[in-house]
Amino acid sequence: MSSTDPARGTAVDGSAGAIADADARHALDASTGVIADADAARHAIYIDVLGKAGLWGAGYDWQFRHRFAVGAAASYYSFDGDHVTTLAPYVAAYPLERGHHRGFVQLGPTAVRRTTPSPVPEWSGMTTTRIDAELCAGYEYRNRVLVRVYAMASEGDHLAPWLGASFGWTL
Amino acid sequence: MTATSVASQRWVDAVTATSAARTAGAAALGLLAGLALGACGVALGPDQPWQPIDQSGTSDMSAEVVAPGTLQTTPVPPAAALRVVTYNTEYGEDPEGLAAAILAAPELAHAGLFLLQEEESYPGEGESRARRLAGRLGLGYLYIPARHKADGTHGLALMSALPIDNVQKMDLPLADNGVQRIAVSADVHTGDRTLHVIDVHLETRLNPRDRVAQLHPAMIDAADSVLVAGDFNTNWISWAGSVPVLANDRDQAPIIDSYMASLAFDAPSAHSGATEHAYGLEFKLDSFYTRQLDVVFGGVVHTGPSDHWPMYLDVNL
Repeated sequence: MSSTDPARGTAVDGSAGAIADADARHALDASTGVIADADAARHAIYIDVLGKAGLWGAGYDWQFRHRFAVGAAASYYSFDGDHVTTLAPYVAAYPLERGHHRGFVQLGPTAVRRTTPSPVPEWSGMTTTRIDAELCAGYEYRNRVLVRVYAMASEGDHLAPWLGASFGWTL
Repeated sequence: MTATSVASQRWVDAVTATSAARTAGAAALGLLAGLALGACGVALGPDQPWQPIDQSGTSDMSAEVVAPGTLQTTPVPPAAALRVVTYNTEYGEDPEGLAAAILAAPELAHAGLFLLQEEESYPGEGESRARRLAGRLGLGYLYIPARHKADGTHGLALMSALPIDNVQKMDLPLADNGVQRIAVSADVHTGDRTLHVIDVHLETRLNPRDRVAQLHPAMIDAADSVLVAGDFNTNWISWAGSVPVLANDRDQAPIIDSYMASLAFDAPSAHSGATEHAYGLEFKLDSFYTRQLDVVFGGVVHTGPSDHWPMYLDVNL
């Protein structure tokens, strides 16, 4: 007999007490007749836009507990002549959850290396490397696809609030 | 629930997920395409030469010049150092409030030279805002329009207790996402010595490379001994045209400091901290740069009705 574990939102095999992971995404709760949640995939890959990875980047994260994950976003791009490399590892927590919808918080450092070329012969341009702390909070939809929208605050020499979004897939 | 209904529900779920994936992918691609197009940067107009202010415009764009002493109400004591203030007055809308704040601050009240940005003049107000402020400070002044704004003008001003001449204006390269910005150079006579100064206000929505390019024409032929000050708009935002797109690692002030250092300028205000406050955020937009001058940086004074704070230093004479 199966039942739904309200904490995980996934199907549990009552006799064995084990998570029926193979079909957890669409498991049927026999007692309620409701399709039990949820995306139990613990891995996600995504494209990050405007957020922690700068203009755009690629990210991966892994849920090592139901409500906790670790991950990183990274990028390399050229923006208006500048060359930017970003690495932003983070830990994430999911304090809110309802079905496929979750609220999340991510915290971690971000390292950014930026090279600005010179438009004039008298100056050779400038390369800077800096490490800031970034806090992100937002909404996640997770159901094979992954969609996140979030607000973030970067704290280094100054406090910089911003917005970001992620689009990807769970594995 | 039957096996058929379970299968049906799975199919609905799969279709929903696929549709969401397509929507998310399309949104991401659209956003990236927009950013890629927007990230092409702005175009800057051609460099312009320095022009004496009496040749720099039509009548409504002519400079206003009132010599020290004309409006002066209090004598300026002789000193071994000249205190210089740079201050973006945010349109100079409140000359009385600006004057009250300056005169109430011991660091500013006896300054001999003010390099101001964002002053304005409108016919309906009777006299220019620079004149009203200078009158309350008891200083001579210059008001140099940069551009028309509504039925008036917007520009830079110098206020001084000392004689000023050789005033010139440069139209800085015009950014296609901005408005006409200018630099003003002048000679300030301090007894037997002449201090060459340049007052600057750069465009807001520029990335570092374009900001250097806009500033460069006013710096490259500057006098050997010179003080440069103003609102360089060195914000920490990255701009895709006129759209702010990034906030991290984009503090432009150190980049302008580096550029100025390549021209042998010192940056005495490099560690001034924020000089502008808006929406609960702070920015370091204003700076001093000096070359072949003996200066002591003072600080930023958190006062006044503007969104900027005045900043000062002393030039040892």
